[in-house]
Amino acid sequence: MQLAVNIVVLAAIYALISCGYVLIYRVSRVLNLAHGELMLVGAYLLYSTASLLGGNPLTAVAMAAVLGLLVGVLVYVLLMRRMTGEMVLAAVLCTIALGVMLRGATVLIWSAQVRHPMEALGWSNPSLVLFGDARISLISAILIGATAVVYAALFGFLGFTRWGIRMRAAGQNPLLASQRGIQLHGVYALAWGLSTFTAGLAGMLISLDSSLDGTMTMIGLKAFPAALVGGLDSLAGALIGSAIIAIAEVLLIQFVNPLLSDVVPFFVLLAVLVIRPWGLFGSKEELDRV
Amino acid sequence: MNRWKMIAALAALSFTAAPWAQDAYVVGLSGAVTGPNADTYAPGVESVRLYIDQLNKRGGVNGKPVRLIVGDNQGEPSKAAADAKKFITQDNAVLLANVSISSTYGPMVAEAKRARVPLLFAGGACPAEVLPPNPDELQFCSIGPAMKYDAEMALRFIKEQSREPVKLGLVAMAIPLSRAGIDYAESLAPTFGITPVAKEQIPPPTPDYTPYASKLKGADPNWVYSWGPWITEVKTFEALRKLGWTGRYIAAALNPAEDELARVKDELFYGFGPNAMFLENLPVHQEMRDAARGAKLTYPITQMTEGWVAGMVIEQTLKKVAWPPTPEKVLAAIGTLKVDTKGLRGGPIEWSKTNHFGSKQHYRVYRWDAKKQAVVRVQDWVTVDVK
Amino acid sequence: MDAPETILSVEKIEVTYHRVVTAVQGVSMTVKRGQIVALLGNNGAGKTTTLRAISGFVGMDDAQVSEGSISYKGQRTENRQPHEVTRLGVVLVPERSKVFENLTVAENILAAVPGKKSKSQAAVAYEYFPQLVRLREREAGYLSGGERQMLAIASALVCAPELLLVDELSLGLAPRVVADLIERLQLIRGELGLTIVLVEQNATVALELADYGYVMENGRIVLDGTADRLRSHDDIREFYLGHVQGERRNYRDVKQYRRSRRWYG
Repeated sequence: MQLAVNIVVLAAIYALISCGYVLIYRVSRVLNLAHGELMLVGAYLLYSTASLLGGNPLTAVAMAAVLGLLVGVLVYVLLMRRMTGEMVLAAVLCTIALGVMLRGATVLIWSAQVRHPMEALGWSNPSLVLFGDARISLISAILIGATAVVYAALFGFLGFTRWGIRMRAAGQNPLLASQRGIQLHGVYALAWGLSTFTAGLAGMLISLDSSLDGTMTMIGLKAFPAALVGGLDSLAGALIGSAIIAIAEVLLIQFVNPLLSDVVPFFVLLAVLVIRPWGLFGSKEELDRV
Repeated sequence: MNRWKMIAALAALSFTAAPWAQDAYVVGLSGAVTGPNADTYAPGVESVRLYIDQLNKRGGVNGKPVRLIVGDNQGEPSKAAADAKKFITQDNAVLLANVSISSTYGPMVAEAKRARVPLLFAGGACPAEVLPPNPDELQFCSIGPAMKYDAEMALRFIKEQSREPVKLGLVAMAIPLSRAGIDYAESLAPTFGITPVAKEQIPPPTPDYTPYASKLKGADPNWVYSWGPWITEVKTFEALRKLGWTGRYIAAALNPAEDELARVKDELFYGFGPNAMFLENLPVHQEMRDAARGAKLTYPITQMTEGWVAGMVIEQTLKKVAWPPTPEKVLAAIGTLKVDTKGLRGGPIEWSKTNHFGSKQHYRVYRWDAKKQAVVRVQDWVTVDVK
Repeated sequence: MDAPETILSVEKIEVTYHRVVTAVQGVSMTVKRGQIVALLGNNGAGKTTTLRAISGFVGMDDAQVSEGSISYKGQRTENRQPHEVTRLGVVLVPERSKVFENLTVAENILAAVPGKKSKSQAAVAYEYFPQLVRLREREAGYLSGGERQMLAIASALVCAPELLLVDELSLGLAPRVVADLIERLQLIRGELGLTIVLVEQNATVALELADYGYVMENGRIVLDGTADRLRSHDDIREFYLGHVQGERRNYRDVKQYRRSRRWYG
């Protein structure tokens, strides 16, 4: 029973992270390799707002989330906007540089000390006993809920709202989208904003559950195979991919060797890439273009 | 703001250091001030700096100031090598120091050997080359934690604390040194009548420690020994507790341990280590707090003991070096050093031709006390002989 | 229709790709309100580039109007982003990838940003192309060529164009479908008061529909005139309309003709 809970929690973590990769890739074909760093920034934002507004934890969380969105829009406006129209590779390299910069900046601003936003908020993280004596920490449960809400909202947004449809349109055919009056920069900025918002949310929840330190960026990278396995341009794929990776990882830790858990996501990824290079749910034609 | 200034000052220093070099004892320190492992090493660097600043305020050594030049190697071997090269060729450093991960040791040792400048390991873990009976002539280590002696001490403590048979779980971070430490403890456990039942090696980037903790809990240990970076030690413990595990957990009390024991507030979570915690309130602790007061530090003072000890070692070494200093004179001085640590350690640091580490390791054990609402010492200095 | 105002004027534009490759050179054309203007020429003559220059390039095209000017209703529009040009009322129906293939028909209509002019532009789209109503839920990638063209024009109408640019209306479509499209386009033009620029390889279709035509070759305009004049022009009759007087000329003669056009035209 505990195993199942562990799988669901890990899958939710990966899913929450990987939807950000998918959003940006889907809209602009850019692989955002600074995603983990943006998670880190999101978590630090929460730590800062929590420290500032100690008595007001909910405001602190809301403010950090809004700031996360803003950071994403800024990243696009100040940096990635200049990369539109350049080669995709150039844009990807640009995100790597952004990551290095953000990592340095977080150390300069917040130092390398391990932080505990949970304490700053003044909350506690009790563990809930579920059926069959399985346990889950409150924050993990919230994380699962948040992932569900984020995905439902994204599906709703992309499927049924004008701006969501335009975002899909721009991802598919930017030129035609522009010719139909869609302002590409607006759509891209929105995608970066949403992606950073979800990354920040993931960063905040993970740091609330354990602690906040530089390894967060590597967690961001670990979720990358999940996004890729499902097909980088499919949200449903990211969800399934996260589940596959989480199942593989948890079962390996439990029954084989924990050391494998670090490499197996990448093995799964390789296997999928060999059989279906565009991912389980990705669209085939999209890959030819990259 | 403060840190920007620090960096600007560092940059300025590195440009102007060479012309001044003749007026000061120059020590070059390469440390992981930023980078993925900075949480472990940056406090150490800051505290060496703090110590040297204080030393200069007191008038320096033999009437001359000590110039500490800090290079940020970000935990990267190539950067550590570049730092060492610069310290030796541009800054005329007479002593090198390293506060970083072990992969940066090799390149620095190579540079030190080329120029025959002594090298002090001042944070992290001691390399085998400093241990008796045949230490490398240029390498010295003032760091407290030591893989083998730590394991011996922890197992002995576990045995003494338990009336029931001990089923031991072991936790390491999946990095070479930590794994070796745990493997050693596993092999040593039976000699104490302790049965190892599970061993977890957890990769450093782990979004959720619960799967590892679940497996560990499944083996039903009543004690867990963890030796590795603090993050792994404490996060695994917290994950175990969230799963409802009720056993006892002992972990190497690295830099942040004192504050962390107070944060976690669990009476069965023991931290052991070679350094006296601030709750002991020794005169030297007051001295450190006073120094920190005027200095606007980035890291809490409770994480500064290792660096402070290294500062003592640097001061005592240079004291024995008559002006003008040369690397040879420093090597002669550091090779036969005896440093009174003023109670920060269980005994003095003593180096000789056959031992660049210390002949005895002393440990104290601490834990949270719910009644007193404070971290308390549960065992005074225990001595392990270094063979 | 006496002396209608000039709605679009293209003056001696030169378009370069990747900063070095010149695609069209010294192209000038004038479009008056209410006209249908055809741009004729063979593959690679520069018709599409000219049309794209009018509708605006995006960064990834790596193209720009490096000389000359384009003005639409007195506003300079060269080198502006397509969405800005679209919002001014100049809307392009491109030749290839003219619909969002993974979006349904309804989503294609919804994705287009409605122009300010009328109340419900989506309704206009379905009004002129009622076939699309029953295809609403179908993905555009599964439409037939004719349906695709209808959807492309319909979604362009959503943007409330005053000047509609259509690239290859008839390409790859059955004559019956083309006839239907032409009929509908004329209806739309009449009711909405559109001005249209058509790019066509099929000169028969183009001259049937257009009031005025320009003929392009090798990136330049080599001939222009009213549709009637062009229809009766010998060269057009021969090379574009396929009327042969006497003996059919062989390919070498055609090449020769082109070369002389390039040198002396």
